[in-house]
Order: sequence, then structure tokens, then C-alpha cells
Amino acid sequence: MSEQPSSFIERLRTIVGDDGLFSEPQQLRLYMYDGSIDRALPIAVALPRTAEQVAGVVRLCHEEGVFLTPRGAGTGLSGGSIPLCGGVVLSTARMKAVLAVDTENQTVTVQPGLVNLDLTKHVAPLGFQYVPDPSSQGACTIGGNVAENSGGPHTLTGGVTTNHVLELELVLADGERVRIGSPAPDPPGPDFVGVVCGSEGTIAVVTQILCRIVRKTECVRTMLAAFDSCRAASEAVSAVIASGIVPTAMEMMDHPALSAIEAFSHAGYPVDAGAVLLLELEALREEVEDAAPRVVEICRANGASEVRVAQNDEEREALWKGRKKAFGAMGRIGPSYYVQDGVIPRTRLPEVLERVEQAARKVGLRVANVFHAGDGNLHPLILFDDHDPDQAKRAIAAGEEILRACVEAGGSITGEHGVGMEKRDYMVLQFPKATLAAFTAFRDACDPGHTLNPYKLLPSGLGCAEGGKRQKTMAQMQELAERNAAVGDAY
Amino acid sequence: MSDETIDVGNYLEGVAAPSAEGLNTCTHCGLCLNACPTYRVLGREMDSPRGRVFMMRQVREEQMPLSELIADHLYICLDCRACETACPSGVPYGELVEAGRAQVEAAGLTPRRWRFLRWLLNRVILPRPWLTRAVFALPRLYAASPLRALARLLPRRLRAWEAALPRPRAPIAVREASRSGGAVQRAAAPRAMALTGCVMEAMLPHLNRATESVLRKAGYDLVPAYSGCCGALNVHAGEREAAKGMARALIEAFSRSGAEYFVSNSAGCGAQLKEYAQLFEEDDPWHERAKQFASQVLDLSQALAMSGVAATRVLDAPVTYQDACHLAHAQRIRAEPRSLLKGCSDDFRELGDDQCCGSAGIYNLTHPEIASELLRQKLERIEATGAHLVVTGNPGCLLHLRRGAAERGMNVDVRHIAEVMDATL
Repeated sequence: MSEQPSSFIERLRTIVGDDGLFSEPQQLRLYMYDGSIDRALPIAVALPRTAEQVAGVVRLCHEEGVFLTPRGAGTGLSGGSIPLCGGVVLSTARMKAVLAVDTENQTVTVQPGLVNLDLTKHVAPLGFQYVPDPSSQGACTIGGNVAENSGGPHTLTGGVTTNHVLELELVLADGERVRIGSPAPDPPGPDFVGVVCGSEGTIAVVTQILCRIVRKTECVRTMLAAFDSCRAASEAVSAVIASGIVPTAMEMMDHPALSAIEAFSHAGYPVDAGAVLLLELEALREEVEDAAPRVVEICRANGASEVRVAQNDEEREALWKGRKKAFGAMGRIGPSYYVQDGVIPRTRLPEVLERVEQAARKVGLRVANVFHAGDGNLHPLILFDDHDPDQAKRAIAAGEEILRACVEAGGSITGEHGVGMEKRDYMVLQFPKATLAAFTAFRDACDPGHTLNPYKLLPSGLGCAEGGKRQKTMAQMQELAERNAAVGDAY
Repeated sequence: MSDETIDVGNYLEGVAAPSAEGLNTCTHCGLCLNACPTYRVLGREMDSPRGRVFMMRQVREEQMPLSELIADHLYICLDCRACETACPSGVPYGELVEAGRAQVEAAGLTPRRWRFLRWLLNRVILPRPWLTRAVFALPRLYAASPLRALARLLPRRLRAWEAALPRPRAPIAVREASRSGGAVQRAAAPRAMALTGCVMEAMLPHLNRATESVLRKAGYDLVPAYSGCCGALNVHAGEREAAKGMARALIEAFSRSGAEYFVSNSAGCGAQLKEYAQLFEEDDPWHERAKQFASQVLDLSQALAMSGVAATRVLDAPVTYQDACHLAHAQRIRAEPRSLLKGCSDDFRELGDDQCCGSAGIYNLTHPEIASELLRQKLERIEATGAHLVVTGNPGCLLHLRRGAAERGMNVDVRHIAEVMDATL
């Protein structure tokens, strides 16, 4: 541990090349944020091009006891890719190749930095699609999706990322490269792929993914229903599902969100409505043609003032564009937003939405709702000014209140955005102590050196302070502390 | 942007700075990343729109100095504005990066490669119409001279440049079609002023003639064209004061002509003309005047689509359309050129990709590595369509694609939409 600060950086440089390493303070600042509100500075950013380089970086960090945080595109919403305790950020942005397409077995082999939508675009001409479609799919990476076990509007019938990953190539915490899972379904033994999906970079770094692709469905119909209130729209959601029809997506947008969405998408969203439902049916043509009029009827019976069916692909795409980019569009109605991600049984939607509104009002902030109503996955967007530290604090307080409401309604503190650093401390709301201890024991077994994405996901055991003791021997960590202090002053 | 009186952080006072309002519109969601050609090539946050906006914001908030490093990243940007199409929040990226470059310029931090070319072009050549004509006519004069016979002695790479030089080309192959169409006769022909521009008239004058011819066929009454420079190159390089003077002169000439429309056949110029108002403070009377003027500016494809003119002949070869960034992203014009081409082709093929070709003004000279990579990707897409004719609405893309196609030995002809429409109307 008598290494000079420069030598660690130099050794990193020999692994990833001059072009693959950044350590200039001004450049590092560009890796202190993601799509949400947390910030922390790394000491270096590595951009490997191969799995060997990834393994080299992970091994070096392991040997030197330096923290390592993997990063995809940095579109995450729970701080998963924030280098909370400093250390190295490993960006997969340059590992974005599609390595193989196997249409007979309906699989694709990809590198982790491949953008979700680019995967679908790659297989679309062959008549296939990759199902998980997070709203950030135009920018987020498959590796990031695996880390967060991402969902999307089509989770309702399609499942989340873990349901579409067959095999993973990993670099373990000590730099060893292994493969888990199998190209054939249901291999014997524990479901290790399922464990890695959603582990948020805390137990391994993924270097290759074997994804499942499916044939595009024959017929897709997208419709929009306008209601007076979220309550009426929520009741329509339950009524549609109770009727036996399961749309592939049922998305709700409330009144405050609609104006921003329409300003961006020009899709004809009714900005005066109290709430809007975006419903999509996907199946064989006969089935869709049978179900669509029934859905329209159910919406009307539950008070829809207008139901519109997209007439062509352009109209359909415009509607989805509005929904998928809704979070980003909040920049039009507030300087910043804090998005929460809780799940509740969908029958409890009206009362929990009421509590969301109350939570925001209590701290004097506005809230907009854009969410996956079909599976009760709430996404309240608390609007605040990120230049005002007090407002930021109040936004976080309201967020916590909302998660409490979700758990009390029998739900969970995260649907698809991950726990990251944002919800780490709320895990205690969700899980008993013994369960959390079991999680921690598993993680300790995978990463005994505690270098992989520290102080994320799990509430106890691995604070920066504890890990930091080991690291303080290294001069660069002190430098880091100073830089972190400077950032702290800014926010 | 009346920033001068407000705190501009580490920016220089008295020079347009990226506005706090514009910068704060960014929610750093990251949805722009994969739309950005330089991020796709380099994979670095510093070369993404989100990263550049963040840097500009940090300078304003005194978290970072305005440094050479930031300057470099601001100039690695192509200013293609694909991020504006992707951005859900409506961040005025083009405006921000141009103001950022104005600051870099004023602080004397302009990257060296840029400094010389920009000085030569914007200070020496373009302000002098006679010199502009002389310099940009050189390639044309060369092409008509016996010197050309020596071109085959050049190395392969230079031969491609040579092959892309403007020269008389074979007429575009068309055949008569049994379509009803033809020139439009209008009772009250709208008066229009065309922009012949600085580089275009010297280098590719036949495109200006084709533009005038096709506008007449579409029933416009043309007043004498405006032959000055619009100032776009100056704005992109951060030279706002020079650009203001050019804007005033152009608007003044247009007003005096009594024309109803101002038509541009170059995407970059058109975008600039429509954004003149951004150059002037809101309390400057020129701001309102520039706004009014913008509502009268049309891209050639808009002018033709509006007129209802329909092709009488169809193109022989399968054709594809390359979106010029300053049409697709800056002016949001995508439908008009496509509908014109579909009107004169039985075999129109979508390129399915609107990423910048890498030309981007003088970018292909200042950042040849990135420009070549983007060109390679574009040419691959073109090959995949199987089209033999590529049509675009911007002279920069035209020359860049021609050079690339020649270097790659591709059997494709690259043409401006003015020539294509003139041949089929």
C-alpha cells in the first residue's frame, strides 16, 4: 500500500490504454451524475473495449482495495452508477457490439454497452423484438438493464429483464471470468442469472449477455382514453383486467404531466383531462379485433370522456414517444424532478395516489404522475429546483413518505428503477432484519473485499466510512475527499 | 439572451453566454446520448450533449473554469442538433453550444486546428466577395482544365477528393411517366428572393441555376437573388458580432425587394436565417424584425411542396434521401423532401438513419477522424439500401458524400434536390 497515487492510475492506464482512461478533475466531474439527483466524484474513469480489459480493471481494484462502480449510459434513476465512495468508474460505453444473432433459437449475444433500442433495431428486420422496453430504451444499455433488472411499459405481460436473459458472462470481484446460466432453458441448480439481474453491480461485472428475442406480434393496437380524474382511470384499469383482457401495457398520466408531454410529443394528448390512460393490445389479429371494442366500452362505462384508437404507426409512435420521454419532458414544467418508483396492488391505486398528492402538498412541492398502472408501478415525479438545497431535502422527504404509503398498501419500494443509493435505507421498510442479513452474507461471499459498487442496495454493513479506512492509506483517496467536499459545497 | 447584467459565473461579461434558463432546462436524463454522433463514436460523457450542457452549466455556476479542455469538447460537437430532436425537455442545445463557443472564442481558447481555418475562412475569404468567388471557383476551373488528366497520378485518397470536386456531371437519368403534373401557373405568383450564398455560388453555381429554374416552374416570381453570406459559419464558430452585421444586411435587402418569401437551398443557411432572432437582444428592434423575417424563410423543399408542383418524369435509378442535420433537426423538415422524391420516383428507399454524415461545415477538416468514421457508417447504410442515387439538401453533405463514395468505389451518384427536381419537373 505504499504505492504513489500516480502509479495506480498508471497501472489502470496500461490495462485500458491511454485513450481508455480519464483522470483529469474536469473530466471526472462528468461522471458524477446519472439521470437522477445524486452526485459523487470518481478518481478515474476507465472505458474498456474488451472483457479482458474489464477483468484487468476489476482485478487491479480488488488487489488495491479501490472501489469500482460499473456504469452503462448513466440514465439510471436510483444512483446505481454513482461512484458514491469515489474509486474507479468502469463505463461500458465502448462495448456495444451485437456478437451473434441466432434466429432459430431466438437468442442474441450482446456486449453490455449495447443500447436497448439498438438491440431491437438490429433484430427488427428479421421479424424479432427484445421485449423489455424501459422508457429510457433509446439510451440505456442492456448491461444497465441487467444490473437494475429493468422493466418498462410492457412488463405487464412481457416480464422484466431477468425473464429475457439466458446466460451471462461475468467478471467476479477478484477478476475471475465465469459464465452462468445456459442457452438452454431451465438449467439445474440455483438461478444464478436471476440473482445477478438486479444486483446493481454489487456482486459482479457483466461482460456478455445472451438475451432472448421473440417474434413481433401480428397485430398491435394502441388507444388513449381520457378521464376526469385519476380515480376514474384507476377504476377503468381494474375493470379491464377483471374482464379477462390483459393489455400488454396500461399507462397512466395525470393532469400536471399531460401539458409537458403534449408540448414535446404533439401526439394529441388531451391536456385538459384529469388523467389519461394509454392502452396497448398485442396479439393475433382476431384476438385484438375482438378485445379492442370491449376495452373501449369498459373505459366509457368507467367515465372516459374520449377514447381514441391510433390509426397508423405514426400516430402510435407519437403517443408512445410522449409517454416514454415523459420524465425528461418535466424540464418544461419544473427545473428538476425527483422520480419515485413504488409498486402497489392496482386496486389500491386511488387511495395511494391521494397520499402521493398529500405527501407533496405537505412539503409545498408539486407532483406529476406518469406510471405503469396495469401492474401498479407508481412513478410520482416531485418537481423542485435543484439549485435550492432545502427544496431538494423536501423532495426527498416527500419521496420517503410515498414509499411508506406503498409498503403500507402491501406493495414494494421499487418496481424497476432499482434500489441504488436512493432507496438503500428504505430496504428496512420492506424486509425483516434476518432477510437483510442473508442478503448481506451472500454479497460478502461474492465480494469479500467489498470493492464492487459499495454502499448500494443494502442498508448496513458497508458504509463508505468503514471501507474508507482501508482506502485512506492511499493518497489519491485524500484528494478524492477534498474534491468530494467541493462537490458537497455546490449541492 | 440579456445575460450581461446578470451573474455569468466564470464566463466573460459582455459576450453572449449560454443562458441559465437554457442550461437549467436539461434534467440530465441522458436520452440524448445515443442520438449524438460523437458520443456514439467516442463513448465519452464529455462528448455527449448532456456532458457539454453540464460543463457549460458548471462554468456558469463557477464550479469549473472555462478551460482549453472544455473548449476542445465544445468543438468536438458537430452542431448537428440531433440531440434537440431526442430531447424531451426542449433544451435549446444549438443556441447553447454556439454561445459557449462565442465565450471560448472571446477567451482565446479556440482549438488550434479551428483557429487557422476559421480565421482564413471567416476573416479573410468570406468577407471579400471577390476573393470568395476566386477561391471557391478554383476547383471548378481546375475541373474544366487539362490539368485534370494528371489526376490519375494522384494517390488513392487524394483521387477521391479530386473525384468529388464540382464539375459538369452527366444529366440525371429520367424517363417520361404517364403522370399528370408539370409547371404551375399561378394567378398571383408569389414573389420570392433566393439566396445564392457565398460558397454555393462560387463552387456549385449550377445548383443555384437549378434552384432558380425549379422555383420558376413552381410558379414563383423571382426577384434578383441575394448573393451575400448569411453568417451561419460565423455563428457556428462563435463570431456573433460579425454575424449580426450580416443578418442586418440580408434582412434589409429582403425588405427592400418587396418579396414575400426568402428561399434557401442550403440547410445550414436556412437554419441560420430562421434563427436570426437569437442573435439580437430582446429589447433590440432587430429581434422582432428577425422574428418576422424568419416566418418568411423557406427551404427549397418547402417552397416546392407548398406550390403543389408535380413531376412529369420519374428517376431511372433507385433513390434514397439523406437528411441534412440542419434540415431534419434544426428546421424539423423531413416530410417535404421525401414527398417530392416519392413524386418523382417509383423506387424510393428509406435510409432509416438520420445520423450526421460528418461533413458539418468545416468539421470534416478540423476533425477528420470522427468525420471519416461517420461517413463510413453513412455510406454503409446507403449501400444497404441498394440505391444508386442519393439526394440531399445541403452542399456540405453533397461534397462529403461524393468524396466518400468515390473513395469507396461505390456506384452511386450524389445530387442536390434542386437538380433532381429540375430534371423531373
